[in-house]
Amino acid sequence: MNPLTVALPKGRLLRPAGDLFRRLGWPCELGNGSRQLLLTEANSLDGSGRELRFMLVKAADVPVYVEYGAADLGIVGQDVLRETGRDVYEPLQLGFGHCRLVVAGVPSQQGRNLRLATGLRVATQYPNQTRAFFQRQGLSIEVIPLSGSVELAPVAGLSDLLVDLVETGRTLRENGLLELEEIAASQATVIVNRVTHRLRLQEVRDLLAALERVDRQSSGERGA
Amino acid sequence: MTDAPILGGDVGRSQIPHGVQDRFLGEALRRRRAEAALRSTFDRWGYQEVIPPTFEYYENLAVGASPRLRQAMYRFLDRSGNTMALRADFTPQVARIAATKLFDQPLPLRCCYIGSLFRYEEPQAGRKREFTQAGVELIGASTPAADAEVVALSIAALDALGIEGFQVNLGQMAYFRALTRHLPAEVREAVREAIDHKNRARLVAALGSAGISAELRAALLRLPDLVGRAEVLEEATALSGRLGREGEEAAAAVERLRQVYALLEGYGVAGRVIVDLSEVRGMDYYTGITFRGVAPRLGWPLVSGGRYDDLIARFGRPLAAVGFGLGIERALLIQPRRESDDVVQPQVLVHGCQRRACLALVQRLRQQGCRVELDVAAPGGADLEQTARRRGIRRTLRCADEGWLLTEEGRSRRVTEAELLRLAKGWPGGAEPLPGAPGEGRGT
Repeated sequence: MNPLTVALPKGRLLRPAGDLFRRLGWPCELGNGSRQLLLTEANSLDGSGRELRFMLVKAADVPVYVEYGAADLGIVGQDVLRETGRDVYEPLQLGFGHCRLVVAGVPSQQGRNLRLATGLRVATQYPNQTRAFFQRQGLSIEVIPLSGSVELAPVAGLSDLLVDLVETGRTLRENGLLELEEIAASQATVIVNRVTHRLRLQEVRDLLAALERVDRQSSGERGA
Repeated sequence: MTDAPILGGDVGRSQIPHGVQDRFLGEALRRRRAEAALRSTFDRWGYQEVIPPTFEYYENLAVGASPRLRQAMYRFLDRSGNTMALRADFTPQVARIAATKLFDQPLPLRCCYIGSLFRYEEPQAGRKREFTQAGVELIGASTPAADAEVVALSIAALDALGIEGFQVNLGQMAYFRALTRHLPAEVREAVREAIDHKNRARLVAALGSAGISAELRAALLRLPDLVGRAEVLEEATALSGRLGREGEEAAAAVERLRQVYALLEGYGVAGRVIVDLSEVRGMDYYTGITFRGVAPRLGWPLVSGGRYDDLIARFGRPLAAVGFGLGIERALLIQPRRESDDVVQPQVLVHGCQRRACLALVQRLRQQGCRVELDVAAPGGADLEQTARRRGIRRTLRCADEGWLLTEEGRSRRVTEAELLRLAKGWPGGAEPLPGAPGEGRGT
């Protein structure tokens, strides 16, 4: 049978996600200066020779690969998963990649009654969650989708507010912005294709159990 | 750039909309063959075809539909201002027909259907905005035997299509309903959603404020993992035994599933079946068993079905029912290809002199099951052999002074009409003779 295929996200989650597999015995030599995007590796620790195939894709594409079954499982932040709206199993939350999706703005926005505002413009890289959040609040806003440096938008007068991910909030502060509301908290999550989980139940269960075990250990070490 | 372009170039205004598809040549053949294989399977199990209309009043098609499916329906107004919709699901139509037309037929009814469904959704894995579904509904029987028959028939249907390595996950909506009966609706939906995504953290959060017993919490937390062979049923029974009143109902639901599973062993198909109590998705109308067929190399289910005992009552007659639908395009995506899937070429090309005797012979050949093409484009028949080669036809026939000139693999010979009719019966790739064809036992 083919090895299970794991989609790993480029970016900030790659190193901690790769570490989990390294601790389980898969060298996981993707990224780190290598240009290779796809590689099959045998387990070097448990003598089983069990193979996994790893692929390196953009974070936002991890749920796409997994939903289509091109990858059997993947690691991705919940923020990205919610934004793509892809239909996958989410059986395991991991102890890293913590961040929050927040609404922020220039300090003069604080205390302004947004319920009464009309024509609010909100810049973000997360248009779907932004639209859904303000809709739940009963507000009709104009979403300005950007692909980076969202902090600039309110400062430059492009938008009234921004919606973005924050880990510590430092970038916001450095740009003179204030966090106004939290939309959702996020952390790294293992996602699994809905058919793979059914057809290869035992393999998937074993791998999830192993990942959960090393993730707990790592979290313990980080906490210590 | 190679000499042969892989695309045909800009088609200008002759485009087709996003989400629909032309099918032709081998693809059309494969589709129709798959449909024929399914019809013949349904027929052997005693199911009779219903052919509902493609569009109906929206309010009837929307009965039992989830908000998401309602959103996906193509709706339009007729000239009297009625809201109409294209069919997005067969089950409400069959339910309406059963309740309003077939109610006095002897029960149970066994209905099958094959046709297009229309959903305004992003095309995914072979499923376009217009896609083909085949399915059955067994109406008026609420027994485990009815459940088992429909599950076993879905397996027979996948086998008939030649799908390899498939599996059916068999769940029980009644178990989930029993466990969550006393939860507020929004908590129940949050719990269902979390289980449906196997998201443990969200499940814990959803149960956090529900104010339920430790035993019930334990049973619900275990639900995403209640997947496997028969041992899962024992565990579910044990979990139910620790509960109060909802426990009896839950245990009964598990017992029902056990009976169905045992019957599937009798059918010899239990090896294809995984018991999966975490299966809590589906059309909102499911009340009992639910099942999904999955297969390697396809990220989405091929088959989806279940028991819906309350739906038909909404059309005026309470009738229990169970059924499934199978996505034909998805099945074709992973159906192993065979050589016989190529388009069937005619067995012989006949020159088009249009003389009476020639046309009469062509008719006789066709009657006895021969696939004959007449060269109508070039009646002179000058390039008959070349035309045949280009079209992949292996024989040509033209009239000669006495009899006929048959050319096969570059060699020509003179044959009489009687010889030709006899020879043609031995040509590979023929069709069925028509009733009453000469030499086929007319009058006996």
